[in-house]
Amino acid sequence: MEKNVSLKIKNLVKMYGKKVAVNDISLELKGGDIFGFIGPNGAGKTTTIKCIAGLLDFEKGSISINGMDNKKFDVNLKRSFGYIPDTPYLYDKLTGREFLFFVGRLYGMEKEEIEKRIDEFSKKLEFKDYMDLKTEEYSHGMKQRIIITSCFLHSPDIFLIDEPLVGLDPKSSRIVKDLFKEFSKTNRILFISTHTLSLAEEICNKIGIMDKGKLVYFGSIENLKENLKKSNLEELFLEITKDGL
Amino acid sequence: MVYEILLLKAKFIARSFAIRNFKDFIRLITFLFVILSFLLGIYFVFFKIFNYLVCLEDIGKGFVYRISSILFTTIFFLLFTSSIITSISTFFKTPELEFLFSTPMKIELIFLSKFIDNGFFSSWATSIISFPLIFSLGKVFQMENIFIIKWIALFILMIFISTSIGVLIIFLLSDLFKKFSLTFIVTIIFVIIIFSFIFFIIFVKPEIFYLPQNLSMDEVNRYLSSLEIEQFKYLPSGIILQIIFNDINAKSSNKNYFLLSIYIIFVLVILMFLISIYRKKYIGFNLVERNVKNKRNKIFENKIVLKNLYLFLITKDVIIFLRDPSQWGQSLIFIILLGIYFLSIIRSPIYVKTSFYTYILSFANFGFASYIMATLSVRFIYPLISLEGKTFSIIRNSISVEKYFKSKLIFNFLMIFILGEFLIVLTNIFLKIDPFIVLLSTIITFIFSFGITIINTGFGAILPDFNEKNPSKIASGFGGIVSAISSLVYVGISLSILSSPVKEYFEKSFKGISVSITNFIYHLIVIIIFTLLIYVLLYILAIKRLKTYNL
Ligand SMILES: Nc1ncnc2c1ncn2[C@@H]1O[C@H](COP(=O)(O)OP(=O)(O)OP(=O)(O)O)[C@@H](O)[C@H]1O
Ligand SMILES: [Mg+2]
Repeated sequence: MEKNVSLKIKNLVKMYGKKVAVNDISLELKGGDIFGFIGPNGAGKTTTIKCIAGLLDFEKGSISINGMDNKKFDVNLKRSFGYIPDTPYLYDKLTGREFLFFVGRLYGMEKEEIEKRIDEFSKKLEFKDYMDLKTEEYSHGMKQRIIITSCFLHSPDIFLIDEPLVGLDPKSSRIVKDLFKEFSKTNRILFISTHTLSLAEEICNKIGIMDKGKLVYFGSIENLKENLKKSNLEELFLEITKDGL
Repeated sequence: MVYEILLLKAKFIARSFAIRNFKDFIRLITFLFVILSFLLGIYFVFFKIFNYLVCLEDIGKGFVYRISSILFTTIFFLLFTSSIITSISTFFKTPELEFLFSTPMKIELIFLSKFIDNGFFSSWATSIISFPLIFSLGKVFQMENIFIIKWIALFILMIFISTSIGVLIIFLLSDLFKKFSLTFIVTIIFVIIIFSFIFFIIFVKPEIFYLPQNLSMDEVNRYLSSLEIEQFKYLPSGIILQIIFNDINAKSSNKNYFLLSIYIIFVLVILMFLISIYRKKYIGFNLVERNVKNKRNKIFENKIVLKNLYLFLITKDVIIFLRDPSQWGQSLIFIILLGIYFLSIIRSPIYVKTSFYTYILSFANFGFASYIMATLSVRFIYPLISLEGKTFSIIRNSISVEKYFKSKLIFNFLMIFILGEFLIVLTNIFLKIDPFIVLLSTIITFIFSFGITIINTGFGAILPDFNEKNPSKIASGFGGIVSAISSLVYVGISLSILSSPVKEYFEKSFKGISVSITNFIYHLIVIIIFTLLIYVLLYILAIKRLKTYNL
């Protein structure tokens, strides 16, 4: 039987002190969705993602993942996530390979399996040459490749990715985009926050536009284009968020 | 998973000692040599003092006991304080935490790994003093090695207890910082301090105030032995010290072991509690001083500040410090604990006006104050340059490195100097030490503040860690340890230069002979030259290094 992969956010409110960072947003995604989460700087995208990942407490609303409430800690719940933060953390005294091993073990994978996956990804993302160097010697994009691999390593149900393409060269961003597409075919959810509108336009089937804490649009790109009579996402984006500028 | 985390930690430690080339090798050897000679040096100092005291007929042993008891209490409070100082960053602000919390790792393990970090960060500076102290006690009383090992184990237990209590306090306080504003908390704390002082002076009435001054040595000894020995004997430090002395006197310590086990049970319960609330605390943690009105702040636009580059850089440092509640919050807690130290000093019946006691006492107090200055600077001053992180390249490319370094020196000096004078003058007033010695201490504190500042700022520039954001961790790294040890060695050497004229002064003034000041002046000059040498050396090295960093 196919697993029931889902992400439901209901009336989420997150405040920083008196400031409302996320203002009553609701959305629902199911397996196979690639969701592009876009919006101007400071709109509340990162905050929302952190709430989903269980890294931030929130004031109101609920988030459920595969039917489980994310406020309670549960190993299976955590295992169903792959999270890439906007400023990822790498142990700079570990090598890329060791880091991936460590992550794999944390997610309860067996040694052989980890090795197989590392092998596979090191070829795909071309980091074979330097994965045995300490990560402190890496460039930004090199780190990003390791981080993305660490997220795909344990094949989670839900990917939460904050700015995935920052710092990647054209070739690797192509590869990463293809990876995303490939994964979405296997009953998974990809939740991608990005400023690269072409990425959203190209691979996402659903779009959310966030502005000043509110989700001002949620639905497919086609619907949106029809509604506003604009031909590309950039114009749409500027149109929807123009009062804020 | 426990295994994985431990293995990871072990790897980090091994990596930082990894030898890739000859330079690393030299570095490692120097490091080990410095630490080893430092430990040995401290050991010999304690050994000599204790040995000297033990030979003093009847009161010797009691005196060693009292001195150790003050030392142990102080060490306990220091452990406790530094645990508080380090735990906000270790338990809530380290970037690693976001990673760990996003994985399926069990909360117990995350807590455990941070708890071990915190135990290490907060205790190394105290341990490098305490281990030699315990060893010297064992050797002076000719105890077998097995006892010394047991005492060391007990001491580690004490670190465990004090760290846990420190962490508990931060967990409880973290909500306080979230709910109230800076001004409110500062006001409350000062009100509490003032009231407890008044309360203490009026109601508790320390015995020392009733003691007739100028007793003969015999009377003093009798008085001392009639007194209840210790104020803090139910603190873990007191219990462990009693066990040590019971071992020395071949007495049984069942009662003390019992008390100790109660502490351990208590601490274990605390830890369970902390683990159970850690996730909730972490995800709810937000330590940002919010400027609710979002008003434009004009400090930087002030004409005077703008004109003077030094003032400008210092203003920047002060603003950053004041806007980080974890930094000033920790300093506040530290001040409260200093208050406790003062109280313990006043309540200790050891302070009586005879030349011998005053000599030991003023020196012990002075040594202690300098020790505090040194360890604090390692935590607050040494990391300052590292904390600039990547922004350092902006600074280096825009203003002269000399000016930048000097601005750091001025700021750090003022902080340390004010703290040092505060410590010394206040304790001296309580101890009723001779005005001449008070004056002398003030001058020396000035010199020491200067020396300690240049050592910590200098090593901060020579051995920085621009990648780390947690100041406690920066301070516990290679550079931090080197600068801590150098500061302590500097203080130690200067104090020993000073010890002979001070002793002479006390002996002569006790016998009513007038004392010439010239002797003091010579010794002071030696210390000043010593300090200046260090200054010149470190200044040149620091500037040279600062110019080479490419971030
Ligand atoms: N730790 C914090 N304390 C207080 N306010 C915060 C904190 N983190 C974020 N905010 C506020 O929350 C709002 C949303 O921030 P968030 O980081 O979610 O934006 P974002 O959409 O990810 O922006 P960007 O595109 O720049 O990454 C912002 O207005 C920001 O000022
Ligand atoms: Mg963001």
